[in-house]
Amino acid sequence: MVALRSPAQVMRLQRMGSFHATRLSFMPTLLRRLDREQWRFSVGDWSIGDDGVGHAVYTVHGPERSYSLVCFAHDLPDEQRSDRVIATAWDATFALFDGVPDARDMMRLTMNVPKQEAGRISDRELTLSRANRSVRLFEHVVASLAEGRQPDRDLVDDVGYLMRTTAVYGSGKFGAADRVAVADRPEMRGPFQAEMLTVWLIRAFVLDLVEHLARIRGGDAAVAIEPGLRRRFGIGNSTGLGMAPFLMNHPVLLNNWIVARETALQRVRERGAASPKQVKAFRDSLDLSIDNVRNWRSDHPLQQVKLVDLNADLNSLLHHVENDNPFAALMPWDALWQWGESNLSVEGQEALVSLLLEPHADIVDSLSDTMDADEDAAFHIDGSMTLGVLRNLIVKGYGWALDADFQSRENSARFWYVSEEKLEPRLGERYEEPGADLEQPLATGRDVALLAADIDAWRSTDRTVAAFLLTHPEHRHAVRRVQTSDKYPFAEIRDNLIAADMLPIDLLRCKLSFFGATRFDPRSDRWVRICMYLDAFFPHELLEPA
Amino acid sequence: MTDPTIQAPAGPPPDATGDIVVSFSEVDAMVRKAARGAGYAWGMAEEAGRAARWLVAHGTEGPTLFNDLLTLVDGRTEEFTPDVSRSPWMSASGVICPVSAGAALSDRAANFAAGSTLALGETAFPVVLAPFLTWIASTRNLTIVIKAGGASAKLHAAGQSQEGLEDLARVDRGAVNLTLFAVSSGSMLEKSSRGVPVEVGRWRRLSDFAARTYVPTNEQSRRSGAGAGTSDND
Repeated sequence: MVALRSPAQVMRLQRMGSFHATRLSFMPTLLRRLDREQWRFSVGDWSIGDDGVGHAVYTVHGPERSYSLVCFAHDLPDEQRSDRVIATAWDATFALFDGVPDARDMMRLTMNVPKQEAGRISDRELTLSRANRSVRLFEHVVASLAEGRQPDRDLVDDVGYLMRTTAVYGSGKFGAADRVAVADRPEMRGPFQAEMLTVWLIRAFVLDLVEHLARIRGGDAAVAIEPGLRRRFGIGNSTGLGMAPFLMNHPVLLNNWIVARETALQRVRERGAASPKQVKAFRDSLDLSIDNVRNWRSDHPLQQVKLVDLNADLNSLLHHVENDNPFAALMPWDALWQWGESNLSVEGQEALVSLLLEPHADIVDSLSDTMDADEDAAFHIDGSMTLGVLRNLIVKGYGWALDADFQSRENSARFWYVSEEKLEPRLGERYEEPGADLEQPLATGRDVALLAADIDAWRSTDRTVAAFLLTHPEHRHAVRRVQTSDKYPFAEIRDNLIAADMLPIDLLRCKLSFFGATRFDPRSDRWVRICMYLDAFFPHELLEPA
Repeated sequence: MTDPTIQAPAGPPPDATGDIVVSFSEVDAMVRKAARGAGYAWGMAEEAGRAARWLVAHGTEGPTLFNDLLTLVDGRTEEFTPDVSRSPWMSASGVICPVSAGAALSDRAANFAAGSTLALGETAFPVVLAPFLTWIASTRNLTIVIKAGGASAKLHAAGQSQEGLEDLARVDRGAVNLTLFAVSSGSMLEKSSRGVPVEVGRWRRLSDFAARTYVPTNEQSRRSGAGAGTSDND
């Protein structure tokens, strides 16, 4: 029997910040469904003028329902191009419509979608999003195609995308449909499926747009992008702190994502003899990973170190596979894993998790059905629990927090807050900036340590949580966390989230890896650019026309 | 990509009039932040957001009612916390906050059984107790009759249709009596997830409460707080 890795090993920021996309990630899960269920595809409207401004509607048709990406292309002066959430204008704006929009819907969306946060959408829409051009690649591609040439492949690989999305808002934001409105649809039950569909269709639209602009400019001389090269275009995303608190605010969901991934690893490690087909699939994905790392650039010193490690790790893994014949072992996948744990960096180990899962669709893919969460179930506090029992749960799950000295400046250096200007989560310096009195409840370790101290001050292990909370309502959120992580052992990140050396990009990387993102490129310790759907099929390739 | 649950919900545009249609999750997020802005602890504010969401999902006026409630308890929530050692429950101010009382009831769910009764003194907006009571009804297999200010509602387990909520929602304040019965099943609730119209002024008032939890930005924090540069021209 192979055991699951322990929460103490997995739920550390350094490791979570080294996660890679797996076949359980939400993008591949979506594409597998569209393929399996034979969804169809149509471009219902293409009204983009010679100036590149206008709108288009891309629709996918499933067995029961259709979803349409409504796209607006704008003329954005360079000086207004910012991928910060504080921007107010974009190269393109989008909404995912539930069904096929009619003329009235289009009129309403035309009035609101280009305004993004300043507009309102309705419960007929599932997401709201926008994207900006990668200036250095976009113009090159348009110019090349217009002149009848293919774009430079190295430049394409170097950048990876023609447009970067910033926010993709879903789940009831800005008036959009609530998650409960769609959560019982099979295609929307999994996490972020509406958002992933949005981004996949945005990628298709952007490639069509660039070919359209080349035709306008080059006329008959213009060419389309050669299909093999076309796939090398993903869609970018730029994400900052807005996303970071998600993992702390959705502990049960986080638990379920991690449990699915860890269970998949466990199942693979327990497998017996490797078939030639599995070995080949493993080798193929290893080659792909090596190729991906070759094109994975980052200017950030932290990521550069990790990339050097990863590159060395993958080559050492390749060497091991080619020379040591690990597949001859009785439990070859476990042998490989154990070799990896002793020989690879954390970054390399987590890459190995993704590689190990790849050849085993038959025992891995069904786990994607377990990655949503009933968050209501964990909301209610068990007030009948005694303080003694609660205190033991704290020792069991939060030893790391009890050991930390939160009086020290470095352990309490930061505070999470919401900025008045953008209504977004931000990270402040507690001892340098005002605002710590308005701290968000995201200092998980410190808050549980404070809870433990007040429990100890009561000097009674028999009194109930209910009685304690009536006197100490300020601990209510921490009690909820402690009781939740008892039932869901992978719900809590076991690191100090307000420490001076905490890296928010680790939080982003973890979440984005579950989306299926690649080429993490931190631009600072708190925002990151990524690529999505690199090498993936386009709608017109995967799906029959509707 | 961003997280709708942590991001502050948007207030209405400055020039908006009439109604604004909001989603359940916007109601939850707005009331949670507004409750924190009025002085509740975060964990209690979470209960308030959850309760408001439940109320709109069951067709009652969550946002409006929470406006009035937060105005009442603003800055002195502890004076509205019930003393549960007394019978009926009573608070220092003479009026009980239904969120505090609801949480206290919910925390004591294990104590409730068929046949028991419980009395609360003067309680503001007793309908806010309903989401907490339906959870107790679910977990303890009970039906709970709540009487307040001449209105009466019969509350079943979560997911079922609740009887008399509309009448109860009309009561601004009143002493509360709870009677617990062995379960009698209600009819299944027809799930709704449509947007909820809220009068702009009221949404803006909630938004003002919520704004108290935000930290004003200066150019330095604008840059370092989000950690990004300013140009995307590459």
